[in-house]
Amino acid sequence: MSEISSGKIEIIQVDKFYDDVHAVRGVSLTIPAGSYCCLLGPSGCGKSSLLRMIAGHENASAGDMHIDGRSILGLPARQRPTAMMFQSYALFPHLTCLDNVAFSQKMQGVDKVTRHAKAKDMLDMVQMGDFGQRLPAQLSGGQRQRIALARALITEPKVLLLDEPLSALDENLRVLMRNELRQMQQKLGITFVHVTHTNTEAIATSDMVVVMGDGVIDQAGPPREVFNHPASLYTARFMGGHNIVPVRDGRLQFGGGQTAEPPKGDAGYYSLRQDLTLIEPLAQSSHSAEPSIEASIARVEYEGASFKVTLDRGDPAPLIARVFDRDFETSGLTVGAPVRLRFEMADLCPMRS
Amino acid sequence: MASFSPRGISWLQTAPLVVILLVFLIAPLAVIVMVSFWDYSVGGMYPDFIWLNYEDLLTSPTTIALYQRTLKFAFLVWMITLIIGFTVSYFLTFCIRSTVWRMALFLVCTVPFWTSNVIRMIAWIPFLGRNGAINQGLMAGGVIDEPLDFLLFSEFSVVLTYVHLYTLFMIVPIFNAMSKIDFDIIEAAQDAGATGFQVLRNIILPLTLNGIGLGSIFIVTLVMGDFFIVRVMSGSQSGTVASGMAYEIGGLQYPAAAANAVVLVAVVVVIVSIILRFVDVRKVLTE
Repeated sequence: MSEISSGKIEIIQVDKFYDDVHAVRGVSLTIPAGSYCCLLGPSGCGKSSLLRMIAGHENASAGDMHIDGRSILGLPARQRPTAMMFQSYALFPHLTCLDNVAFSQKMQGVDKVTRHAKAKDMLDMVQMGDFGQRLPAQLSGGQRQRIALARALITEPKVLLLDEPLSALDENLRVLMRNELRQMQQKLGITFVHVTHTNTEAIATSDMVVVMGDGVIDQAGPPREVFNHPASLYTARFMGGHNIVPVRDGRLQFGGGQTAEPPKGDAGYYSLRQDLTLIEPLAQSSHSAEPSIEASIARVEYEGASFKVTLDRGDPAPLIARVFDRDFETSGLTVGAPVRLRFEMADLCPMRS
Repeated sequence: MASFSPRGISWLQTAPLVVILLVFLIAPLAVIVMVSFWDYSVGGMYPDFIWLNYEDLLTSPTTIALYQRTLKFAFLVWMITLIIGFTVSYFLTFCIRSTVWRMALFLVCTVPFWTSNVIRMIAWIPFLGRNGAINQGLMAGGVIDEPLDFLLFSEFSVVLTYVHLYTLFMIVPIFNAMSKIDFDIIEAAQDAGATGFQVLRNIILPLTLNGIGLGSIFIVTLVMGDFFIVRVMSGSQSGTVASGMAYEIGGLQYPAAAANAVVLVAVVVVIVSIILRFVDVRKVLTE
């Protein structure tokens, strides 16, 4: 923790086979030192395997991995400059919280007084100072997670690996904890690699989102870039919040035979953020706007701050528009009402299929 | 239907167990304690209250010798079954990754139990005897010139048979405790820098301690109460406390045997209490 920004991870052409299953397929990725990286994808996409290979709990079948320029391949987990936080927290059930946190120090042969003092500092850092003498079974999920965090950080790792750290928590606590994890990462200046299947969690915490599917990286980049410019159909669907507009015969397809000239390029699909897809009742709209696409409202769903308005457009998948709730109340939009779409051509983002 | 108070229902629910324990445990023990104070002669036994049986027992050098040997057997068998039980359980739990194989191999451990104790015990005799398989094999291989005499009808064969018959009682509780250890916990320990031996010492052993305790209770009580195996396998050349009792019963010296039994029960209770100081057996059974 002394030097600022250590923990650069380079993953070079890594493969992982489990018997016949090719779980990770030739993945290459560079995670900058001191960044918060989220590996995002559905279960079985290879993100956890990748994390466990960085930790040393799995061996890569092929490829190489470096941390701060040194290959970690073949090193056992205990010799790697990484620490892992498990999804189940994996606290030692027979040890008090203090001894759980002090465990790695004990393994190094540090005397009891010194290691307990250091463990106490770590407990204070995660605001669990009063719980040192409790057993893990006596703690709530969120408290256990703090202990697990303290236990991982006491080893002064260059890289902290978090395997679905928030999945066992309820929604409110999850939002609170992801914020704390982010703050902790910024305070320590080490690299965090966080595996999750929740897109909101990934974009809220990270400097870098790595979307994975079927053992390969689909897209990697800063969260705003990945969210605003999904490079593929897969990422757009997984990130959510996007309408997908296909191109057929060189024209954007909006359903019901309505088409428009696509922006330059030869992409097969374009994405359009749902909140940038605006609608207005047909009766109130002027015809001047181009392209002029019409549709009717199939469903309306209240989501709190906004309404999710689903537009029926026949052949391609429905379009969705999100309307701020106050605007919705005054707009006169109802199910079955004909509407006109409004969007900026610049907001259309080309994607590979 | 008559209505009962909650208290009454609790009593009713515990009644069957209370009755069983009273009839089959407390009553016989009470009779033994009572008889241990009676007087006896060649002709029979007479209700009395004398300490003579205990005096005879506790001042006899035979008693000391029998207890020494019984405790030696118990300790040896405990040590060996513990090492085997822990190793086998460790192998089954952490080295076999497939659940199907793990259960299959565990069942293999129980195969010897498909035959009776007596057969399993007797089966050793042709194997260990002077002209048995081991001696013949070793002589044929030129390892020894004369048959090894210590193999059968010796303390060696007694301990061997105990280990063979009782190891499963150690394997089952340890395997049970080990299979409850979450593999993430082992990985977390490795992640925290623990070597293989440190994981064993700091994680697996403490989390298996309750199983070890339960197995130890089984082994100690089984060995301390045996007189049959020791008689057959030592060729009546060795004896335990229970052999002494069997001998007294054979001589119709019931009050002496009863005093012997009371002392043995006391000794076993002390040993089990010591084991229980280290482990929480209730946790093993309920978790």
